[in-house]
Amino acid sequence: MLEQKYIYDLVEKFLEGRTTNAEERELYDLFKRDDIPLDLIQLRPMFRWYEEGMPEPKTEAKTDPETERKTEAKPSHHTLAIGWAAVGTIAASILLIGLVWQSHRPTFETIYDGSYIVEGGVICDDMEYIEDDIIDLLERADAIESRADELLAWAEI
Amino acid sequence: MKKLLVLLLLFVASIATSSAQERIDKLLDRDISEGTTTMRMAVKRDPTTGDIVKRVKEFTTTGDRSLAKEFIQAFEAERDNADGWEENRRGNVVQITAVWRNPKRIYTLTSTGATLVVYAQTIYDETTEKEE
Repeated sequence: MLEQKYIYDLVEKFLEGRTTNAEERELYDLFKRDDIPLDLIQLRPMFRWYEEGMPEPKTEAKTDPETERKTEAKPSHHTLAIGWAAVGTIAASILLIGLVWQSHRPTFETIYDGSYIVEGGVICDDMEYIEDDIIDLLERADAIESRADELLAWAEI
Repeated sequence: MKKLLVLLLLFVASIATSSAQERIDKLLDRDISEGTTTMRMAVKRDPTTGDIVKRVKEFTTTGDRSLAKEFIQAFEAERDNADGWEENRRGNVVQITAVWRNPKRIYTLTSTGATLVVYAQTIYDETTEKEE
């Protein structure tokens, strides 16, 4: 009975934060016994936790520090899937924009559409073959036009 | 009466101008089947609108003196109608440049007796054409 009163007083002192290290160690040893008062049994896990140095609560995935580091460094499959989907979407958008821009960009075929060459009775309008001839013809025409502008200027004098 | 005469003369002059160029154009639009004849057509378009800015036709033939004579006669018939004219003759070599405004049309002929080269260009949009 005296001992039970001592245990109650010691527990009360611990909960008020007035116990010494020796008294705390005494409490840890007392609560390992089976004859502690029944209404104090619920405090046994608490004292065991204090005695173990107040360890962090463990989750199922973290079994050791090495595993914990690997778990933190490795993204989940869901995150990877989202990442790759974003990369794919951006790449597809860039490709689509490039194709649209390319289709609307003036090409040699569109600027000189309607050009052709007739030689020996054979008509050729394939720009791949007549491109150089067409450019040359237009350059000569520009030179002739410059001369024509001079003639018009003289005619006005 | 005087007014009527002036109107009639203007009408005839306008027809004459168009007929003259048509004579040259008809010769240029002839059927090209001989191996010594080449026709090059260059069409330049506005890259934004696709509208034709300039059309250039080059006609080259070799050894057809009668055709060369036809072309020279067609050009000479236009001398008085052209807004600008330049002619150079030296021996068998004939070089003629004829210019019309509105629309701007330029015809050149170079004949060496053996070879004939005719250029016909029409400028539809001078502003865009010069920006290119």
